[in-house]
Amino acid sequence: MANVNVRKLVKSFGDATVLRGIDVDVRDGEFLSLVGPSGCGKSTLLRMIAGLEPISAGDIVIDGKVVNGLAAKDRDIAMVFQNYALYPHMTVRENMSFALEMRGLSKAEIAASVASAAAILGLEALLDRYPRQMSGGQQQRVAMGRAIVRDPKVFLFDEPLSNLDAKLRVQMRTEIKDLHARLGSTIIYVTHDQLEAMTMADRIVVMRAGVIEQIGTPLDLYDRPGNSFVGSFIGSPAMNLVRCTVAGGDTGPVCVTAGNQILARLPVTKQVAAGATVDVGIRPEDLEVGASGPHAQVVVVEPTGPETQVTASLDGQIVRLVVKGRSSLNRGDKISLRTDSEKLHIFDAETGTRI
Amino acid sequence: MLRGLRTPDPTRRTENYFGPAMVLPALLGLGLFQFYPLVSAVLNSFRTFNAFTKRPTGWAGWNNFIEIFADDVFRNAVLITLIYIVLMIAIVVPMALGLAILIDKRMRGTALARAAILGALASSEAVAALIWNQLYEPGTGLFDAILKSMGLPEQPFLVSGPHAIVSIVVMTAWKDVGLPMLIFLGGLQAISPQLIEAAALDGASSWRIFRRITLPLLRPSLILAIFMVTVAAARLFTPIILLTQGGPDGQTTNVPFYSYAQAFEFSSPGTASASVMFMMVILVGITALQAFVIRDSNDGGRR
Amino acid sequence: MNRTPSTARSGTFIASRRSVLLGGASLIAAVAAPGSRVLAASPGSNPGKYKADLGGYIGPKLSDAPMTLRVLRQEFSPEINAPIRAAYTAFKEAYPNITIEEERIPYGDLAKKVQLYVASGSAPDIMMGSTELAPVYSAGKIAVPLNDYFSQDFIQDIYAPLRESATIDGKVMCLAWESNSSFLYFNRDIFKRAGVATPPEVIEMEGGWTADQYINALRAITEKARKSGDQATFGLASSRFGNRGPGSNYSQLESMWVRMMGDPRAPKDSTAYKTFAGISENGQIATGYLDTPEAIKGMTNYQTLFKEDLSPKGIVADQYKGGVAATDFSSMAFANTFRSQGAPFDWGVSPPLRGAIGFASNVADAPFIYSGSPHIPEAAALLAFLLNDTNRRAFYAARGSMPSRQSLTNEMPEYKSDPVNMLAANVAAGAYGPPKSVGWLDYVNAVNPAVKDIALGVDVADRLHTAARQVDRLLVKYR
Repeated sequence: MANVNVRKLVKSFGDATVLRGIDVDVRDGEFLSLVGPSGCGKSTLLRMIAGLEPISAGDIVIDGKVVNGLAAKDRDIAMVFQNYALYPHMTVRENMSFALEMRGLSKAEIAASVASAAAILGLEALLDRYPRQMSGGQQQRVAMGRAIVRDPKVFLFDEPLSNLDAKLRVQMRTEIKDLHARLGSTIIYVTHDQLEAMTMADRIVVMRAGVIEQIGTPLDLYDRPGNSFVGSFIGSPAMNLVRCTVAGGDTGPVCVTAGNQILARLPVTKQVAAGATVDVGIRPEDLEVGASGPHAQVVVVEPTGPETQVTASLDGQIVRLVVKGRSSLNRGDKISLRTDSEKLHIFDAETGTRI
Repeated sequence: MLRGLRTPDPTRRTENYFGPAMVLPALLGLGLFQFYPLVSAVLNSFRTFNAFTKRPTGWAGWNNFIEIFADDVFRNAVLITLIYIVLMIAIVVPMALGLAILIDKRMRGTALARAAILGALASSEAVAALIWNQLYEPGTGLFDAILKSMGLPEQPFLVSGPHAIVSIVVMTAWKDVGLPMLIFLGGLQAISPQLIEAAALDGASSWRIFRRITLPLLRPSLILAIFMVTVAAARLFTPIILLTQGGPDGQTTNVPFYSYAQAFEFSSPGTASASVMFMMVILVGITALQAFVIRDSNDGGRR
Repeated sequence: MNRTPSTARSGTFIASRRSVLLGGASLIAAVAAPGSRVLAASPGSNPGKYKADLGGYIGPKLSDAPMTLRVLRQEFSPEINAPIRAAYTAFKEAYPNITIEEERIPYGDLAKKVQLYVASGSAPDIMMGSTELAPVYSAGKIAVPLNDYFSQDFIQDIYAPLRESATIDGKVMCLAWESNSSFLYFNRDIFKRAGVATPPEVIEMEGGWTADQYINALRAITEKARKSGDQATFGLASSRFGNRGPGSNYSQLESMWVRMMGDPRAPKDSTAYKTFAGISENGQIATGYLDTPEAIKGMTNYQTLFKEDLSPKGIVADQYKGGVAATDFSSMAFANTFRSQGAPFDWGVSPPLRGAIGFASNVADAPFIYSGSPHIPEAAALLAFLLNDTNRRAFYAARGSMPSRQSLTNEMPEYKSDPVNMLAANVAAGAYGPPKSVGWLDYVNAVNPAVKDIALGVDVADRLHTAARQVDRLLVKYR
C-alpha cells in the first residue's frame, strides 16, 4: 500500500493541453474517485499515474518516490480497464497468474495467491474458463481478481462498471466498496457517474476541462459545492440553479426571479449587494409544494415509487422537486414553491463561485 | 417455402425457372474454366498420347504415375518442392511478421515502406523475375558488382544449385511478403491496445508481451499466413522458368516446373497430367490439414 | 543427285560434297554437273503453265471452287511483310476463288502454336515449321510429302544440307525458307589493339581456325584487355540465339562444339562417327553419341570460354555489334546490317571453327503443308507461288538474308565476287543438318539446359552422361 502525490501535472498532446497543473494527494489506503464529464482529463490522469502516458510537466510520486521516468511494468500498479482487458487466450487462472509469473514467483506461490484471490471474489468455479465463456459481470470480477492477486501498491480503476447493466452495476459497486474495506488498499477510481463516486469514494476529485474544480468527501461536495459546476454535477437529480437578482426586502435582501417573484430570502450569512445577479442553487429535495411562494406550472410528473419527481416551469426556468411518497399533481397544475432559505446555495452568476 | 415450390401458382413457377437461369452463366463459366480442365487433367493422367499430335490414343492405367515415380528428376522435384516450401515459410513468415510489427508502430516513413511492399506485391511476377535476373547476373549483375566493390568474391547466385534455390526464394519473398504482411497487420490491429497495456502493468517486458500476448493472439493470422505461403511456394513457377529454367542440373526444378517441361518441352501430356495430379493431391492434403488446425484452434479458446 | 536417304546420311555423300567445295573451280563444277539443268528454265520459275507463275509446282490443276487457305508464319517488320503481301495479292488476282487468311505471330511462339494447332486437329493449311523437325512431321504424319507437288529440279535446287534435313525416307517434308548457317565474325580493331593475329579470311569451309587456335587467340585478347583495365571487352559475344546466353540454341549454335570433334567419314561404330551423328541411326539413343570422349572434349572447350572469362556467363545484348566482343557467330545477317547501316568498327569474317572437321549447323525455317488440309494441291500451289523466283527475289531483297536455293544465290553477282557472300555460300553448302530424330525437340530441350550448366561450370562428363540418359528416356515414347 502506498500514497500517491500528483504535483503540478501537465499533459499536452501537441498543441492541445489536456491537463493544466493537477495537484492531488492520495493517502495510503484511501479510495479516491476522479469524476467529471467526458473529456475532462480524468482518464488521462489515471493513465499517467499508471505509466501508460508520458508526463509533459510536473511530478508523480508513489510511496515517496518520483516515478516520472519509470516504465509501467516497474511501477507495481494494477489497473482494471473499462473493457476488462482479459487475455482472451488464457483461462481465468492463467490470467490471474500472469503478473506473478512475470515476477518470477514459484508455481506453488502463484497457485496459493490465485486461490486466495479467487476465494475473495468467489471465482473458484470459474478458474478454468476462458473469458469468452463468461458473462460481463464475471469478467469484471476476474479483472479485479487479476489486480488483487498481485497485491500492488495502488489499484487503478478506469470506469470499470460502465459496460455492465444497471442492476449489476449496483451490485458490483457494493462489492468493490466491500473489497476496499477488506483489503484496505489505495484505490484511484475514475468514473463519469457521480453516484458511483458518491457511494464508494472516501474523497472525490471533480475535474473539468483539465483542471480540478474541487476535492472533498462526498458529503462535503454535496453540502458545500465550491461552485455551481460542482453543485450541479454532484447529486441526483441535479441541483436546480435559478437565476435571480438580489433586492432589498422588508425583512432583508431577497432573491427575485426573472418574473419578479420572490423566490426566497437571501440567507443571512450571505453578503450580496442589492442589484447583483446570482444563481440560486436548490437541491430538488429542498424544494416543496407550499401554500404560498413563487408560482410555477407543473410540466412532468415522474413517480418512482418511494418518491415522485416533479418538473415545473418557474418563470421559464425548469426546476425539479422531489416529493416524498405519491403526488396528486398533474401536468399543467399551478403550484407554489416553498424552500428553506438556510438550505440555499448562492453562486456568483458570472464566475460560478460560491458566495 | 417448400409449399411455395409445390404450389401451381403460375407466377411462382416462372420464378422457379428464373432463379436457376440466373445462376446458369456463373455455373457455366465455373464448369468450363474450373471443372472441365480439372476433369480433363484427371482423365489425361490415365491416358496414352500420340507423341506427335499430342492427342489421346487410349488408356494407360497407372503407367503415367509409375513412369514419373521411376524418374529421378521427378523424385528430386518433389524434394525440391518441399525445400521451397520450408525455405519460403522460414523466410517469408518471420519477415512478414517483422514488417507488420514495424508498420503497425506507425513510425516515420512507414507509409512509404508499406507502399513499397504493396507495390512489389502488385508488380508482375514476370517483370520482377526479369529485374532480379539482372541483379543476379554473374559478374555483371548488381549483387556481384557490390560484392566486387567490397572486395568480396562473386557469388554463383543462379549458377550453383543451393545458391539458385535461395536466390529464387529471396526474389519470391521480396515479391510476395506483402500479402502475409497484410494478414499480420490486420491481426495486429485487431488486438486491443488495452491488452498490451494490461500486460505492461502486469510487469511484462516488450519481448514477453510479444511472446505471451501478441503472438498467441496472432495465431489465426499465423496459420493463415503459413497456409498461403505454403500454397504459393508449392506453386512456384514463374521465377524458376525465368531465372534458372529449372537448372543448374535440375536443382531448381520443382513439381510445377517438371509438369510444364513434360507437357511443353518433352511432349508428354500423360506424365505432365500425372505430376499435376500428384501436386493437387498434396495441396488438397495441405488444405485439409489447415482446415483441421484452424478448427482445432477455434475450439481452443479463441475470442 | 537423286540420293536415297541412307546414302544421304552416309560418309560417302559427305565426302563427295566436300570435294565439291574445295575451291572455286569445283564450285562451278558443282553447279554445272547436272548439265541439262543449267540450260533449262530456272527450277523456280515456270511462267505460262498455270494462271500464275507457280514456280516448282507440278501438282494437279487447281480447283475453281471457292475456298479459304490459312497460313501461319512469324511476324516480320512491315518492309519485309510487304513482298509477301504483294504475292498474296497477285495470287488472288490469278485465282479469285481462293481467299488467303494469314496469321502472323511472334517468332518465339511459332513452334508451340504449331504444336497446339496440330493437337487441336484443325490447323492452318500452310505453317512455318523448321527443317530440324522434318522427322516429326513425317513420323506424326503432320505434313504432306511434297515430292508429288514440287518438281525434282526445284527440290534439288535447295542447298543440300537443308534439303537433306527436310528429307525423310526420300520424301521432302518442308521447304527451307532461307539459309542461315553461321560462320565466324571478328572485330579487327580489338584484335589489333591486343596485337593478336586475326583468323584466316578465306572462303573455304575448312579454311578456318581450329577450336584450340581460336581459344588461344581469345585468351590473348582477354588477357591484354584485362591488364589494361578493360573489364567490358570479351573474346566471344553472349549468344543472341533463342533464350540468349549460354545454352540458348543447341541445334543452331552450341552443337558445333561437340559435332566438330566427330568425323562423318570415320567407321560407323567409332566414337568419332557417333560424336558427329549425335544420336543413333534409328534416332532413339543418345548415350554413346552425345557423351563420347570427343563430345566431352568439345564441351570442355566450350566450358573453357566461360571458365576463363572469355565469354560472359550471363546475357549481354548486342555485344559484338556494340564493339565489346572480339568475335561472334552469325549468318549473313551481321554483314547485311553493317553494309546497309554502316559498320561501327573494322569487321571481318572467317570460316567456321574446326575440330576434326570444319563444322557449321544449317537449320532453317521451312513452311510445310498440313496433312489435314482440305485443299492440299491449292495449298501446295500457293506455297510454290510464294517460293517462285520472282517472289523470292523480292523477299530476299527486303530481308537481306541468303537464299535457300542455289540458283538464286548463283544469279546474284555478290555471291561470285564478294568474299563474305562467297564464304556464306560455301558454308551453306558445306554445313550439316541436325541429327535426325523424331524426338529432336525433346533432345534439344534436354541438352540446352545441360549446355548452360556446363557453361556455368558443372562437370562436363557427368552432365553429358545425365543429359544423354535423359534423352534416351524421353525418346522411349516414340518407339
